[in-house]
Amino acid sequence: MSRGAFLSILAALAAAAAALIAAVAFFPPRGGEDEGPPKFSSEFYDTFDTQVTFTAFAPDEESFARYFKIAHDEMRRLHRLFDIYNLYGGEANIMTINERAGKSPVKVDPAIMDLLDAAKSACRETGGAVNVALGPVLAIWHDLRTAAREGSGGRKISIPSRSELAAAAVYTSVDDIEVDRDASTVFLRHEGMRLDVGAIAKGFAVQRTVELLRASGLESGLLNAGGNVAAIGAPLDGRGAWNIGVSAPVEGGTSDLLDVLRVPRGSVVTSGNYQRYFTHDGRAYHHIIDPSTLYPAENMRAVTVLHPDSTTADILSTAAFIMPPDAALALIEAKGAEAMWVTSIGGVVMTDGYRKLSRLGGQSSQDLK
Amino acid sequence: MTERRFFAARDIAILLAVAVPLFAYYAYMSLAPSGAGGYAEVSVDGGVDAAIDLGRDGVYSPSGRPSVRIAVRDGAVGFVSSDCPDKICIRSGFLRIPGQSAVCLPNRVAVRVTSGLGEALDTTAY
Repeated sequence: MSRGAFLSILAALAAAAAALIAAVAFFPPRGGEDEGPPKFSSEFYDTFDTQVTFTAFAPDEESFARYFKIAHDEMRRLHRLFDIYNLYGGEANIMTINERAGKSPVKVDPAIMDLLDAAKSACRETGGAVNVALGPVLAIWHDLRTAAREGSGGRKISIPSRSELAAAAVYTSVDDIEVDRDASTVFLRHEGMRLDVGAIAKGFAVQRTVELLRASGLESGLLNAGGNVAAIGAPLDGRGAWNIGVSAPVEGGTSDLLDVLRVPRGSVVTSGNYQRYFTHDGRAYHHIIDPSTLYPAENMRAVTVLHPDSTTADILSTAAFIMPPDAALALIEAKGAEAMWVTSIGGVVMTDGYRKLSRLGGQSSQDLK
Repeated sequence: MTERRFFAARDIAILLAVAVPLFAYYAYMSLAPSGAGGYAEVSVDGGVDAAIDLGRDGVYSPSGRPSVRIAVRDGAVGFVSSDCPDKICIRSGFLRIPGQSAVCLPNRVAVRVTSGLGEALDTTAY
């Protein structure tokens, strides 16, 4: 072989190698998801009035089914304990506590005391924006939403007046919730007090359940309770982070994604006004009530919060939805959380840490910060 | 024959002729959809009811839920009718990204895109 031909072949081989190396560098091969154990996913519907989806990397279907049962049983147990509308046999729950308000302490499961202690701290830390003692006011709004949805039997729905709401808000201080650890009891000091743990119970239950799953040996999974998402470890397919979609707060089509977050660990919770609301005289009234006005909070369309702990993420998403923007940002930073706000006029604001995990980086949206 | 140093013009031509198509082919294979259309899975009360081909437009009612209708249109899937009060399922719109899902809570029917174009989502916060 002549030296010229040899060099030409060498050049061609070098070119082929260089092209392949460049191509693999620019376009990493797929198929990473084939490595490691397979991913399973299933859902249940009998807790917290929502769909709960459990996803996990597990060696086989049998072991997934075992973890699924652990998740389902724990979520069901906590749902029964935190229910304010139903009683379950002889077991005391939040409804029992409400029924005994001003009368007598109720002996409860430690999970209820943990939830209420977390709720009392949350109320202090959020300047009253998250208040589980606001039950009498939230009940008025809840009944209105139900009537608007199911029809009120010909009776015209009327929006409650400020004085009507204020009258309901007389006993709404979390300081009047007595948690006695020694006696394992909870007591509401005044008759007419009523707890509504909607802003915290789901996050708390998700956090407790992922802790139990982790303690039971699960290395990698996701629990999503109606949009309240918490991760156990990272995905076992080599990606290093979970791809978590964030719905666009659009009343006409929530399948639109506002963003995709790459989340290596921790919890993601969204609070928004675009799913649960009713319309009256052409105006939408959604379900997140501002304790300072007793009417639906108006500043934001949606807030998404990331925090290692799902209880905290749940509390902060509600707080950051209700609080004035400056105070909300200060709270998010103080708690070491990350957040994205979609304001009522459609602007998007995000913390720097959120932006780093955000695949879209707010490209598609206007950034007001 | 003239003495060569290293790369002659002909070698550069060979280099380009080999490298460019190879790079382009690999890039195309990486970016092209792994399967046209994709599939969605419908579940009733947590159990898989059916797999739906997103490449074929049509309407489908899940087992035991005659009031619920799920449609495929232009490669996307969504609820189009249901007897539930809120119609949140219908307002969820049409889904096409793998991992996206919509649910009708009162009927306990969920639809989830299991394969298709784009990088899959593990779940969605809403």
